[in-house]
Amino acid sequence: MGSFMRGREIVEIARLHGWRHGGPGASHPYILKRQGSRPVPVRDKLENKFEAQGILKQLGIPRSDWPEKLR
Amino acid sequence: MRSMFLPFERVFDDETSRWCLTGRDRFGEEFGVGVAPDPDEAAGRLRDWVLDSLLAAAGDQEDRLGDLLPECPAEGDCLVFGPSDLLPVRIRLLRARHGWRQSEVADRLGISQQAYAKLERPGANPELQTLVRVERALEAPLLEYA
Repeated sequence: MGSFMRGREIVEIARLHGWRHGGPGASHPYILKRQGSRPVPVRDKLENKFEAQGILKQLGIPRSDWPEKLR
Repeated sequence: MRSMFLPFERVFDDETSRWCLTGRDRFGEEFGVGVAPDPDEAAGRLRDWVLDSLLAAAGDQEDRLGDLLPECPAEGDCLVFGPSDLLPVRIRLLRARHGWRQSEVADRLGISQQAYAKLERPGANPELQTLVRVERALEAPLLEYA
């Protein structure tokens, strides 16, 4: 099964909200970091809408900035 | 032996036939997500997510272990984080607070950097003797997590 969404799309959205890519973790290619926030790991391939929405919520990205396919 | 806990909720996504798990920290905020066709695999992914987050925070000298719960709530599903999960986070945190590189601690211990790096990876299971030496090298309590 192909991926629903690529992790790097999330990374690009997060960058616009002050997050930076802090390098890979043990199990994730992207670890997003922002001062005062808990680090947020992101996989390379997200499997469904639920996973992408869950990450965006934990990044604190407002729904208005989510990709159309996630709203 | 110390363990900490992460309650989680799970739903099944009919559209993609995937189990979707969301963890909750001790404040009730969302903490981690795990998605997979099999519920156990989804739980494994949630665990990996949380550990990568805790390890990344530790590398920035930030102790986030307290975001987990000291006890499993009486009702609902819960992930258990045992010593092999918590020790690597604690070791990385202590090293980061000293501002030391892995190779510097390895030199203090008389082991290779590669061997030391394994102590900071999830699933590390060092012998007690090794832990005592690491505790001395890092100059802070560690055995309470073993």
